Amino acid sequence: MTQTRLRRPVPERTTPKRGVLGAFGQKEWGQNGQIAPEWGAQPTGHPLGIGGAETDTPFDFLDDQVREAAQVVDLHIQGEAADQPDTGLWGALSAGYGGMSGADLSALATQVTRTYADVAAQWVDLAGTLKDYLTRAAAAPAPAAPQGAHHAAPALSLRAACPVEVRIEMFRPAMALSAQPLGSDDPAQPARITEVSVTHNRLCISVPHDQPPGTYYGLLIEDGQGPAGVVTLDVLAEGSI
Amino acid sequence: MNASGIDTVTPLLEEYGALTRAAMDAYLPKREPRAYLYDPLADYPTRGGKMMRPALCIATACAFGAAPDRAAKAAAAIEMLHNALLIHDDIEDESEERRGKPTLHMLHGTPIALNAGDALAMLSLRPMLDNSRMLPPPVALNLLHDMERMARFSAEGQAMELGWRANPDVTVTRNDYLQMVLKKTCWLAAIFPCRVGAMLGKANGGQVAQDAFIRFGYFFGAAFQIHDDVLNLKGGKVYGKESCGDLWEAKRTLMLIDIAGQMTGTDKARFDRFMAQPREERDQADVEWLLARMQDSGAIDRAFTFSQSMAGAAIHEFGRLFEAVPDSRDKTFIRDLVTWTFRRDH
Repeated sequence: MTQTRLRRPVPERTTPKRGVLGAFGQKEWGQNGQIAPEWGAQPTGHPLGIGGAETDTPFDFLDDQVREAAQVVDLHIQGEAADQPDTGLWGALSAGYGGMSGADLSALATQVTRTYADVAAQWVDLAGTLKDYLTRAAAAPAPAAPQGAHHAAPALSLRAACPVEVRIEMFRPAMALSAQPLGSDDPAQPARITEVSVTHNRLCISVPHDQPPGTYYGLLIEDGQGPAGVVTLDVLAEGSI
Repeated sequence: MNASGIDTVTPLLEEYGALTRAAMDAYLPKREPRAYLYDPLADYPTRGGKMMRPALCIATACAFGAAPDRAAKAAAAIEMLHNALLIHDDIEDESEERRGKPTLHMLHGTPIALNAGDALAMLSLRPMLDNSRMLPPPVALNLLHDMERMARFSAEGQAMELGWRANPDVTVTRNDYLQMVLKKTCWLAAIFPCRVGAMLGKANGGQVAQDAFIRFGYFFGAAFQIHDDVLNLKGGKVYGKESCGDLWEAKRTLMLIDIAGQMTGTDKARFDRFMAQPREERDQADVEWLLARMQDSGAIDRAFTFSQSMAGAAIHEFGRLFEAVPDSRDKTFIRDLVTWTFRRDH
């Protein structure tokens, strides 16, 4: 079953993320519950290069040649970001399948095909598979499923103390689903909705009472087959309905 | 050895190197056509390289909470692709030796070597695809996207160098050289292995910022490459590639760029003539003259000092990247790998 797609604005680029963590603005560090440093709190720009706070950092051991050399890598990163303002495949995928139109997905698949085809034939096979998969995902309405298959969205059990709206969009018929935690489409919003599960083809979501308003999404994964659908949940501000 | 006098690098290079070789062996076909494809294809991977790239990948994965096995296939993919590019590099550079033995094209001829390199590059995708299956689909796609990114930059870096060779009149600056090294060397040698390792790590859920490890990998890779260039000028057969091979090829190293800027008058004319000559027409007297100029002018010492500065910057970047990562032998290995660069003699 295919439902109306939700369009979300493309988030604006913020300052470069300097740390390993932070692709989604996450702060948690591993199983031990340690908190990673606030990467965004670091000085803007590289201390060895352009934009860095060169006068108040303890890098005197680095000579001018290294400072100049640092500009090479900073320009490289900036140039790459300019070439790929949507941060490429990862950025497109992390925006969620549900937020992309069929044209978006086709363009993405074309990009994948082109870049991979440049390298080796086996890469084309991979890209071809991806393109088929993404094109199928973009197709609407979904193809008719064989008799007896689960092709409709799973039933929904929802617990929420705040006003919410939920949409479930299936890319294709699927069985044995599991669900990802729902992440925000706002890179600056680390809060996620983690109590998400699928039991007996019933999607169960529990929204914390203090969940910040916004749009959250997560993939429905078919065991061994990959993404089969997407859940989009809007937490509305109090009094908005 | 690190500052405490303990060798933290060699044991992990050996351990992770063995793990990578075992994983790689499963992906090197043992079927026909052996003589003209699969035997030549398996030649470089079994010659006993340093295994720095795969070890860096596995160590990063471990530092981020994974077991070594989890990254073994990705490490094998990296080593296979590295060897595939070496086959092609040797053809393009007309090199005669690799790791103490004749290059693949010297043994089998260019057509067979070229085809073996193509096949090895394609085969490197297999272990990477197998490794990516254990990741959530978006992370797996991110990993493959990064592999494409790395392959593209490697080709661009090689193109820069080949372009300089095809146009000997062009003036190359140090920043040009560093940009070439960033693309040709650093992405495959350090940036990509670290990024893949972090994606396979469990502590961060596979989520790695778009520009993470680029600075660390750049400083580390550049230090490694410049030191490599310095080692190439050392005499004897200690170094795997033919001694002074870079000079015979008129390769644009920091040292060559350095002395090129100092040449005037008859020296400049001799230098320009040398650069414009095909490799086979260059004579030993000119190569010895260039080497003496580099030694006498201090160009080699300056390059070595510069590589040490780049290593210092790499260690600084390491501190920033790994500040919140719990201490482990893998974390120590990654840090000490930077200075290990200067202890190796090949």
